[in-house]
Amino acid sequence: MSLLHDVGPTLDLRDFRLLRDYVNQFCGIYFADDSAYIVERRLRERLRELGIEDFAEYYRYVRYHPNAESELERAAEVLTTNETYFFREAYQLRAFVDEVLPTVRARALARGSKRLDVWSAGCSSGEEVYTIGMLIEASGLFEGWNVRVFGNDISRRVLRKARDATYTSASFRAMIPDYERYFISTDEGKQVHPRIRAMCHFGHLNLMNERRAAIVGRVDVTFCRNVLIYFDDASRRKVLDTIYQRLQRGGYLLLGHSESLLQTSTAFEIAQLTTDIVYRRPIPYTDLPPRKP
Amino acid sequence: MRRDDIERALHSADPDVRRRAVHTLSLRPAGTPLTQIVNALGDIDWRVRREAISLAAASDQRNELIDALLARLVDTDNIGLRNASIEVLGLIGQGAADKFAAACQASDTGVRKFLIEAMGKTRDPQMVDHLQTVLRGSDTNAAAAAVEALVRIGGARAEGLLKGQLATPDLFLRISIVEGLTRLGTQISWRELSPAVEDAIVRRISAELLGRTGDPQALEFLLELATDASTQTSAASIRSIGQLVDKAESHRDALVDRLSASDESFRKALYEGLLHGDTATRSSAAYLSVLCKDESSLEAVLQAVADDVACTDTLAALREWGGSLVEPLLLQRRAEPRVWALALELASELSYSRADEVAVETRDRVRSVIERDLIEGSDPVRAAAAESLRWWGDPRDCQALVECLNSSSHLVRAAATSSLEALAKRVPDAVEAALARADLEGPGGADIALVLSRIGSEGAVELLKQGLHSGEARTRRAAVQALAMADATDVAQLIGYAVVDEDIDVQIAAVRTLGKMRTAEANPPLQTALDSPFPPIRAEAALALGRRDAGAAIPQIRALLQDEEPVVVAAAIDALSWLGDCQVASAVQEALAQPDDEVFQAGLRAARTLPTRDAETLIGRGLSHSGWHVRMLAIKLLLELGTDRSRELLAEALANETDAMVRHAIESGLPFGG
Repeated sequence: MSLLHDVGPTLDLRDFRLLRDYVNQFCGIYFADDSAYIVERRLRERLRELGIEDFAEYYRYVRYHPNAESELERAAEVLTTNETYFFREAYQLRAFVDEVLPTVRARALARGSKRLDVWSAGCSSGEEVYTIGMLIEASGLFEGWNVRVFGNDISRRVLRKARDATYTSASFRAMIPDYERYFISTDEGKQVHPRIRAMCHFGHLNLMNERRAAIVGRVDVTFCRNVLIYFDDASRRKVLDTIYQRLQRGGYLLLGHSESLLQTSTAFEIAQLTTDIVYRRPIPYTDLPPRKP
Repeated sequence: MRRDDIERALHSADPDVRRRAVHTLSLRPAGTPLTQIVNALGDIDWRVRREAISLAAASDQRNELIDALLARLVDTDNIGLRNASIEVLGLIGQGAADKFAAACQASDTGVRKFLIEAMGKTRDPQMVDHLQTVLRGSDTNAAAAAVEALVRIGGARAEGLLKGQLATPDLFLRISIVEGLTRLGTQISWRELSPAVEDAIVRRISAELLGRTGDPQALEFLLELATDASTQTSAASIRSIGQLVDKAESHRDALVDRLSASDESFRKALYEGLLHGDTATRSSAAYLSVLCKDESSLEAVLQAVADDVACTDTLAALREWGGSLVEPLLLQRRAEPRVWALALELASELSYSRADEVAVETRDRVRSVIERDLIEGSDPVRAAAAESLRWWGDPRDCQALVECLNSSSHLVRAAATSSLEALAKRVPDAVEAALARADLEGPGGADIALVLSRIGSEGAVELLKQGLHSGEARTRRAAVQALAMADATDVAQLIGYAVVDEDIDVQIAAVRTLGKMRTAEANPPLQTALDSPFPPIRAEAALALGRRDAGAAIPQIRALLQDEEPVVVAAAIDALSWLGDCQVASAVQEALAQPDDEVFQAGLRAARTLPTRDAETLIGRGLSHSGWHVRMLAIKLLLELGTDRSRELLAEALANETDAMVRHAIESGLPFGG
């Protein structure tokens, strides 16, 4: 569909609110009333694909059609901006490498474990997952460890792209030259090196589905950057609860630079790092090492 | 757990035992002694304190607890107790402004700011009077706390007080106020803000407020802030400049001239914001770059459009740029496909709409690029080339566009369809001739059907009938819909077969299409569809028969009132009311007792067909439904009835209604759809 032309069925306020609330209930994404035109423009593609004439009919489709759930996933896919790139928000990644990874490593060793699990919640087309993989590899801290970076998204389309691991120039707008060595040039673009791809895994997961999120297992660090900005307060809290449950005690949560938990009451505590503020699942007193006499 | 067990547990050395004891108390808080609550709030373990806050908030001795906590806040060194007390006072302190004020007067500077913090947390507007005194007092720390508290409380009065103190000589306080007003989203005039931003430190955090003034005098400050070393300050300034230009009406040209004349450092900051900013910053930076006609940023601007982060004003400004933009757009050929696709589409649009501003050689070049990319381009580029032929297309393009309909990319097919539809109006014979060789079995079968419906000739209808035999469900569905659009005759039986198609979407399309046809031949397949195993088909068939006034179907539709699927029951009620069935009244009564909102709404719609007095009462029940959309429907129906009783019911509903849109509907006679 052309981005230059605004043609197709129109979405009145009533149908907008019905659709908005239904999509919100399904996957947490929320649009304020003044964003109706965005929803209208982005969902027109779906109406055309389904041969549906107006938004009232589309609402009935997502409520009653046997394929309603898969259509809601497609709706969520077109309603969110999946735009991302490698090494986004470099200062935070620096904090991840310099401070979070060493701490997590020490804690795992103290548990007698040589396993590192990182979750990219809402990973879009995979640039963040591979960035994390490259950073872990380049840090040299986890040689011989079992390292897993898991990315999930609600969009099957972006997951296909993530698994394909081939990217064009828009994904490299903040690329750090040192890391070019982790890419192989192909006719379609640059492909992530198999060594990095081997540690990165992807899954189709709705963050609002707490039960299915259990598949992620216990992770040491969760990246959830520029995802919660699409959610309303209640959904944000629900997703944060899920992330909390999935984190190891003392595990870290990294949000996007414009996001904070200030307005959202959660059990996370703030961890002040040198170059960033991140969130951490508290360590209960009983888990702390005993004081030396 | 018994009371004495709880008492013992509260004194346990294990924090988790104490936490569980407090939790147990919070499940039945009535009668819990104040000392137990206050002690728990002061526990050394944060988890116990967290439980204690819930317990305190539910206490039945609110006034006594407020007094106790205010007293402890004044004389305690226990930080945990102090913080927990502030939380609790914020939760239960509404209506106790005098008690807070008295405690403030009796306390020293250190404690006062905690009391003020708690006042803010109550969000009680009655606290504003006292906070005003503190704000204007000599204690800077207390005044800064009062700013925070006023921001939490919000409202016009709090905002007015904060604006009134912007000229305070105290720098620390001025910073607090500017930050507070920024968070509140306050609109502010240049006259109110300018005294505060004379200081460079304050100015640095004032970017958002400067933008909100809408005053051109703010631009110079914002240009300076846009080049600030802090990314956040720079980004906020870019967003504010965007806002400033957007608000400016009479002096917009002057602002744009000033921006265009800005130095390299501003351009660089704008470019950074365009590439690396958040969505709002990229959107503003794209808009400003286009207004400044900055050709060097064009690729990044188009990237922002491709990422769908640019606002509609940016697209308008690109078009406004005019014919001189065509050459720079053609230079984007080496950019990534989505960017080049946009550049090509825009270049072709401008070459057509601003033909007098574009050199003939340039136009020829655009034409040849379109022809080449329609065949050789990647999918987004082919789509753009196909879309471009909406303007440029002539008979010789039809064949290439029809070939695009076989693309596996839905983008390419959609664009080719759109252009062929446009061409079908200008040169229908050429389009029909090209489509005669089209492959209805290919991926573009559905798109071909759509174009054929626009042509509507005898030959086109014959081709559409072939589409009903396609192996692709999408094509069969489109052919069914297209036959109705083409207004073809003698096809009811063919479409009737589609009612038992193996694909549910083809069935739905067939039922809908039959519902729109005039011929009586459409009724038998629709009655067959009432027995479909798929609920949406049964529902659509009932609605179609209702619309067609097919009275003979009433017994079958009545049976659907017992269907287990709400969508079917709702459709049956609608259909029976359209058919004037004598059993509608009882169906309405049952529907209005159902929890499903669709069934309830169908009941309301059907109630509208009953005698006025019954209709008023029954529809009136919808005004107290929990679903806003159900209330909206009830309002619409009552407004249609227009009786005195309806108006009374609406007036009563207005008094209790909290949803702004529903209130608006009552007050202004339902302007929205539904």
